Amino acid sequence: MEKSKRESRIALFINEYLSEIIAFSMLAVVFILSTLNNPELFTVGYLFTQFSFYLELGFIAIALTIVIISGNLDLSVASTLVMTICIVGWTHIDLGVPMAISLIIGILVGVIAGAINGYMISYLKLPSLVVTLGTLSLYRGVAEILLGDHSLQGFPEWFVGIDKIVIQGTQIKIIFIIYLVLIILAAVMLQRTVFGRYVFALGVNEQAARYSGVPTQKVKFLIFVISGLLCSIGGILLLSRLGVARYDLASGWELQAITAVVLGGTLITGGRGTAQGTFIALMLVMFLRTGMGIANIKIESQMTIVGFLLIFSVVLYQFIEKYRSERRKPVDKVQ
Amino acid sequence: MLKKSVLNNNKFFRLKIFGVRELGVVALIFLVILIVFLFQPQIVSQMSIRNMLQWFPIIALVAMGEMMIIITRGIDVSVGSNLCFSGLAVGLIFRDNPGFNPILGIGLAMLIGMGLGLFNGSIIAYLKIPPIVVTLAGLTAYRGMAFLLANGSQISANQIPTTILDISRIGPFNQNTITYLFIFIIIFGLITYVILNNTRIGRNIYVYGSNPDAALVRGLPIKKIILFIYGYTGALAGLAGILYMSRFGFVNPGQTGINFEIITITAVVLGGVSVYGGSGNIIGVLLAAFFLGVINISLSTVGLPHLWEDAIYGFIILATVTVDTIIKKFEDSR
Repeated sequence: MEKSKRESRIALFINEYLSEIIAFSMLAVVFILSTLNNPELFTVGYLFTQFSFYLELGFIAIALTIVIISGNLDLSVASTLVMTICIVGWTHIDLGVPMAISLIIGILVGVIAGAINGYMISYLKLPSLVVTLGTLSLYRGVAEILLGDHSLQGFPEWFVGIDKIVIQGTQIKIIFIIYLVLIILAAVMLQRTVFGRYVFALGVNEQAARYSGVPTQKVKFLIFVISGLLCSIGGILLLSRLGVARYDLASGWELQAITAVVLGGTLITGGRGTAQGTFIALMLVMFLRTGMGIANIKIESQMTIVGFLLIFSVVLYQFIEKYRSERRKPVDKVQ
Repeated sequence: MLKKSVLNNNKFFRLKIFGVRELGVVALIFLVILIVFLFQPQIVSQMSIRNMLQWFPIIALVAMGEMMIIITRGIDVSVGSNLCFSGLAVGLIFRDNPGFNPILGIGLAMLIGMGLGLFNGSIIAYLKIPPIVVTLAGLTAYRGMAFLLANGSQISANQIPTTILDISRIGPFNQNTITYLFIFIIIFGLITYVILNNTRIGRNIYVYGSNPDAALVRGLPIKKIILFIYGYTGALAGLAGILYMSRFGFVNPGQTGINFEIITITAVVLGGVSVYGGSGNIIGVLLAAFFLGVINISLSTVGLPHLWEDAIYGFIILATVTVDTIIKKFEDSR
């Protein structure tokens, strides 16, 4: 009796976290393969350096996780990030505004960009796909108009190089800690708060959520504002790492971020997903790209591989979801 | 009796709105031309008219396919990469076999494009993956494939057969404003019109778009519909690859067809195709493509760099869907 209970608990755990387990095992396989190919990967310092290249993508991926769980899509994430970078650069260098104030303006721009998306999607009830496709073009276009074809540099010394700061005596980078805190915050928000429940409710069935008293419009609006905020923070971190503002930074990051989110077990149709899964998948994408880079695979082949990986992972998780819903008892289904 | 009159009234009203919608685009075209003319009169010069008439057919061609997809509530953002890949593949054949039949080349490009489109469509139809995910992956993957195929080179004008280059250079009446590009537009415009209005598959596209669940219950061949529209769009994108090659005289994986998906989707949305699916007609899309051609030429006439284009396309998409929603709300409240 005891044994069967424990077994069922393990089965339940596996059933619940199957996607994360699969992502984790893929991560392990990729890690082993790439370290076999190049033992240098084992050094902690190198891993942290590599991770700092994917940190901003991680911010976008977390924003997208929340949006996709709610059953929407935000294609404008990378453009919002670039717009933030360009507006911070433009106000500080071309207009001479002090850096601290430019940063605040940058964050505000991200929030406003998210609010425009959110307003059109929640209050005008437009499909998120069309709206964010429009803002994808519009926000990057604003960055293009402001900066033109040239890049801006000359940011203050205290601002540039946040990715180089390590905790005294160790090789642990401070940005890694920042990112872990973000993951924990997002996970707690999604799984332990009322707002998080609302997000999942929206993703499972929006109409049902509305009828059961979820303030769907407000929640949707807030989701996109949070997405804009996270993207602008990511943009500021990227600006600090590179020290250069250009309009063509972060091109194609929408796809990489969506790949990370979907690989991490978030259902593309909404209603399921975790922040920690996205974190695991981000590490997977990082190891894959780093491993391919070390193995001297061309960037164009990497693009193609990431594209097909996205389709593969969506197909895989769709099958898993089917399997899971078949295994669920009828009583569970009613819930 | 009452019901009938309400229905008639409603129909009349809709017909009127539908006309107003297209008149709006026509008015926009004249407005933009007028404004630009006031500042830079050379917009009505033969040169700029010719440039415009060479650019808008390529937009219109792909927008016709994209329109069908958006009517069914789908989306295809891989058309730009598809265009580049098909154009490049056929361009490489032209380069390596100088005597290759150009007509065969056009057919081959359409076949390659259709193959990529059918690949998208089969994943969407049989594995039930959302179109945006599949085609976003295609957007990156096909361009990556084009880079691999080109292997660091590009197709330049002297490697392209003269017959192909002549498509956008001369016209049937031996003048250079109305070129052979228009023949393609007329042929495929008619084909698309007939498919959408006079065939069963066209009816099914509208039915599926206006209510997918009902279409499923009624037993419509949904998989066939999806395969057809993505395959057709792919074929048009492949053809557009050849026309692009003819118009610009080169194919480069880093430039050809970049942002083309945004341009076609802007044309479709501005052309009055509902983003909620189920409605839209080809006249509006053709007019909208013409409008984008006017915008393109106005920017260079006024002297604004092409960097402005992205923002303008994004703004047009957002403004159109917002205005449409407001009109719809107004219509509903009456």
